[in-house]
Amino acid sequence: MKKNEVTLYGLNNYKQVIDDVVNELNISDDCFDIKLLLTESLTNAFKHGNNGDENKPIYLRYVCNDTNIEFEIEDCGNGFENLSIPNKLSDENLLNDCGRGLFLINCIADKIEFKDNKLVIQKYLNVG
Amino acid sequence: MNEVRISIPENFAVDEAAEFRQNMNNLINEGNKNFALNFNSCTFIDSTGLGVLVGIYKKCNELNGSLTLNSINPKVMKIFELTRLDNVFEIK
Repeated sequence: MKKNEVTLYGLNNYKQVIDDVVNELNISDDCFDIKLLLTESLTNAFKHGNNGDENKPIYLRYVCNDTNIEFEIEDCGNGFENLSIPNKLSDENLLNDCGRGLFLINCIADKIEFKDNKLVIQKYLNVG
Repeated sequence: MNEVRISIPENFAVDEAAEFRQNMNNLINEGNKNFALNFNSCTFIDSTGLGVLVGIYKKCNELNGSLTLNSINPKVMKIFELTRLDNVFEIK
């Protein structure tokens, strides 16, 4: 079992943080998916949760065993009230400039949960 | 047809996508409207990258220009399929 917590301020360092997580967890088969889950969730936390304020922290916590990884992304916002994520993007929303982040997280993750100002993501790992 | 060929960055996300949007807007403001985007080097795309491509697509349409996407790798292609943008863009 591996677990860790990283604190980010803004997105200046986010790529290095994600690379470090991927390297530490040795999950090359799932690298693309994990990178996408973390990029989308950290971007959301910064833009929407922290309103783009680089002085507010974003906490990334993870727990991983051989078959499963759980991420928790906590920002300083008020949480995700009345949020619904569509199962499929509708024709009228197809050409929106934004609004695909949570949809992609929901597609790639095995389970997501909103707890106050935390997004909890579960992903089963490809075991080769 | 005067087509501008452009390579998409390896990591087409947050910062790279914002820089790419600025470069494309400059090219469009200079009078270009036909673009071929080469994904040969691109191994990662996120929703910001997709949003930038959609914005460029809409501008090209308004100008009666063209936008084609080439050489997309399977993992990146999956993101286009999930968001149904594979039905929007001309992908070669």
